[in-house]
Amino acid sequence: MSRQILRRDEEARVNYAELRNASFDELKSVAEKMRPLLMPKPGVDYRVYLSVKPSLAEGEELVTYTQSACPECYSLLTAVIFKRDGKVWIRKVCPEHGEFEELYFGDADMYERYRRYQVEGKGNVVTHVPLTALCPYNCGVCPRHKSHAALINIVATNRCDLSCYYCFFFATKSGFVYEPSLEHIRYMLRQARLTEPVKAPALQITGGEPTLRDDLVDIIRIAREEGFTHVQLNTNGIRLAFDPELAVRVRQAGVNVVYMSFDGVSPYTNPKNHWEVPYALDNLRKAHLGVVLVPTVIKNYNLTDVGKIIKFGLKHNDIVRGVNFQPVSITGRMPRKEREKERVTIPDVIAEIEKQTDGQIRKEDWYPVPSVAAISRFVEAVTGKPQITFTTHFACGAATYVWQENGEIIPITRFIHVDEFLSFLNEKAEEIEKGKSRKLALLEVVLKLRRFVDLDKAPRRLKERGKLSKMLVDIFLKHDYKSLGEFHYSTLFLGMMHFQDLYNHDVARVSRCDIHYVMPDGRQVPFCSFNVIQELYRERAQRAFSYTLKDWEKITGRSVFEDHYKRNIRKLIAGEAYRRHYEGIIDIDSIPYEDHVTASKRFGIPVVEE
Amino acid sequence: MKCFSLELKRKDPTPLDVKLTTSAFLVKNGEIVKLTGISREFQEADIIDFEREIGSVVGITYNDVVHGEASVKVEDIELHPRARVVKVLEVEERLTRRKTRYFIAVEVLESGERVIYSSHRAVKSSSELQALSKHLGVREKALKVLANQI
Repeated sequence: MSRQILRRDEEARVNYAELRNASFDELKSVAEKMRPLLMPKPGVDYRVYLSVKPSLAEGEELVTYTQSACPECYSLLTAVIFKRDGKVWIRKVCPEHGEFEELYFGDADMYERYRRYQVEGKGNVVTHVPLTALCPYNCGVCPRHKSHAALINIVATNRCDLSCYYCFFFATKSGFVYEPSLEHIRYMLRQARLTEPVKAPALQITGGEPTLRDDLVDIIRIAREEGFTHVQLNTNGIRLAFDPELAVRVRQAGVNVVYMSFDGVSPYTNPKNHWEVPYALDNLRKAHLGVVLVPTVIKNYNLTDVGKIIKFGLKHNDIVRGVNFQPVSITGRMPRKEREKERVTIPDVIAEIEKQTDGQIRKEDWYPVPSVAAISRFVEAVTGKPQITFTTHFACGAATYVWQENGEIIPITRFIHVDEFLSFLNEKAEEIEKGKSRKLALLEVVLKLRRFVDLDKAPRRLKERGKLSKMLVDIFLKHDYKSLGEFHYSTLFLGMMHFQDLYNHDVARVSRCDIHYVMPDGRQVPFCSFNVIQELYRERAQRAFSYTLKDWEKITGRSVFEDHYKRNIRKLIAGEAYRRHYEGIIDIDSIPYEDHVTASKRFGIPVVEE
Repeated sequence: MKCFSLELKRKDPTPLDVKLTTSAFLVKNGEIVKLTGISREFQEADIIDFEREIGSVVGITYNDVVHGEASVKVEDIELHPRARVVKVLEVEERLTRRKTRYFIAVEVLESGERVIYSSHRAVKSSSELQALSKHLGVREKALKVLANQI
C-alpha cells in the first residue's frame, strides 16, 4: 500500500480516493506507516525555550510554574501561574514573540477549593506511541500521560451543513473532505480500545456534522461492536429537527444521548440553531432519546443567558438530561484587548449562574470533576478491578445536579452532604486497601448511606417509595451503567468544561486530560492537543487522510457546498413547537422578524422565504 | 545509562513530598552486582530520558518537577553492549509514609537501550519478581535479597 503514501512538499498524505474501499488490514498498515510521518517535529514544528522563566510583579503571588505553548509559533515555554486581584493568571514569554498573559481561573478562592479534590491518575500500561518528545508534542497517547481516557471522540466527517464564522474545520473552508470509511472507523475505534488497564467506555461521534453521513447508523453499530457501552452523538440538531426518523434510527442503533449545541435562548445569543432546537427536541422526545444542551459561553455574547439556558433545560427536563457549559476556547490568534471581551472561565460562569438564578444555584453547589474519583476508588477497592476514574485537572471541569419543584431549583448539595460522603468513601476504600474485608466495608457503606442524605430537603420525586436510597444502594451494590442511568433520568445534570486555547494552555492540564480524539493514523490525542495545537494534530492528520474537493465531487456526484443549510425562519417561528418551547423563557412576540433574519445571516446562515 | 534520583515538594495540583532513588545492578551469569557511576546535575537534555523512565513508570513527569521545589540528579553509568541491567526505583512518599518499588530491566544495545521488563504504577503484581527472574535468568531468591537490601 506504500504507493498510496504521497509526499508533497514534505507533507505526508495518502490518496484517500484509492483507500476508501480498503480492508481493515490495509488501512491499519497505511496508518502505521503514516503515524511517524505525522508526528510533530522538533525544530521544524516547534522549538523549546524552557530556560526563560517569566517573572512576577509586585502584588502577584506565585501558585506554580508549568509549561505552555507560544500562541504564535507553538514553541514550548516555561509559564508561571499566579494570583492577582483574587483571580488566577498565566504568563509566559516567548523569546521570539514576547510576553503573553491570560486569565486562567476567575476566582482564586475557588481555585484553592477545587485543588483539594485533585486526584492523580495511574496512566496507561498500553499506549499508542513511544515516548520520544516533550509533552505536548508526543501525543498519541504517550506513556507519561496521567489519566486514562473516559470519553473518546471520533470525527466522522468534516462536512457541515453550517458555516459558522469562527469555525475553521469544516470542509468548504479547509479545502478538503475528511470522511473516513467504515472500516477505517472500525480501525480507529479498535485503537481507542487498546489501552490497559482501563478502556474508555464512552464514545462521542462528532464532526463537522455527523448526521450528514448516510451511514451514521453503521458507525453507531460499529461503535457498539467494538465495545463502547455509551455512545453520544454531537450535533447541531438541524437534521434532527426535520427528520423524525433519524432520531429513531440513531436511538435504535445504540446512541444513548445527543449532545446538541445550544448557545442561548434567543436568536441574538443562539443564531446557530435557535429556530430548529424546538423541533429537534420534539423529535428526540418521540424517539425517547435524551439530550444534553451544550452552550459555548462567550463573555460579551451570551454570558447573560446562562440562567435562562438552565431554566430552558428544566422546562424540558423530560428530554433534556443536562446542560454542559463550555467557557470559550479562543480559536486562532487574537489580540489581548479582543480576548478580554470574550474570555470567561469556569468561576465566572458559575458566578453568573448564581446571579441569574437568584442564588438558587450557588457556587458552593459545584464540584470539580476529579471530586468523584472517590466513588471510583471505592468501587475499585470493592471489586478489585480497575475502574474509570475522572482524574482530569481540577481547573478543566465542574458539575452539579439540580431538580426543580414548584418553580424552585434544588441542587444536590441541599440534601446530600457531598463532602462528608466523599470523605467517607475514601476512608472505606483505604480500609479495604489495607486489608479490611470488602464485604464488610460495602455493608457499612450501604447501611450508613442514609447518614449523608437529608430526605426532608430532597425533591419529592426522589422521596417517593424510597427511590433515592434505592438508587444510591444500587449504584454501590451493582455499580453498573443502568443504576447510574436511573439517577441521570431523574435530574438535570449541570456541567462545566473549559477546553483550553493557546493563551491559557497548561501542560499540567493536557497531561491529565481524559477526553481524547482518535485520529486516522491510530493515535489517540487529548482534546486540548487535538484542537489547540490543531495545525500539528487535527489539521495535519485529517488532511493526510482526506479527499480533495474535486475527488469528493467525482465520487459522490455532490459538491460539499450543496450540504449547506438555508433557513426558513418564517416557517420555523410560525410552528407550535417553537412557541411551546420558548414560552416563559423569552418574549417571543417582542422580536421583530427582521431581527431573526439579521441574526441568522450575520452568523453565516442564509435565510429563505420559501 | 542514566539513573535518576529526585526530591520533590509541591502543592499544586496535588500535595506531594517525594524522594526517589534509582539503584542499578548488572546481571551476569545469573548473579547481580551493584553498579555505580558519576553523579551530575540534571539538564534540559535529560528531560526525555527522565520522562521515559520516571514519567512513564512512576508517573512523575518533568512538568511535576517544575511545579514544586525539586532537586534532580543524574548518575551516568558506563556499560558495554549486551549488558543486562536491572534498575530498582524506590519511591518514598513522605506525606503518606508509603514506599513503592518499581523494577526496570534493560538490555544495552549498540544503538541504545531496550527495555525488557518494566513495572507500572497502574498495575499491582504480586508475582513481579517471578516475572523479572524469568526475563533476566536470575534466581527469584537473589532478586528478593536485592529488593530487601535497598
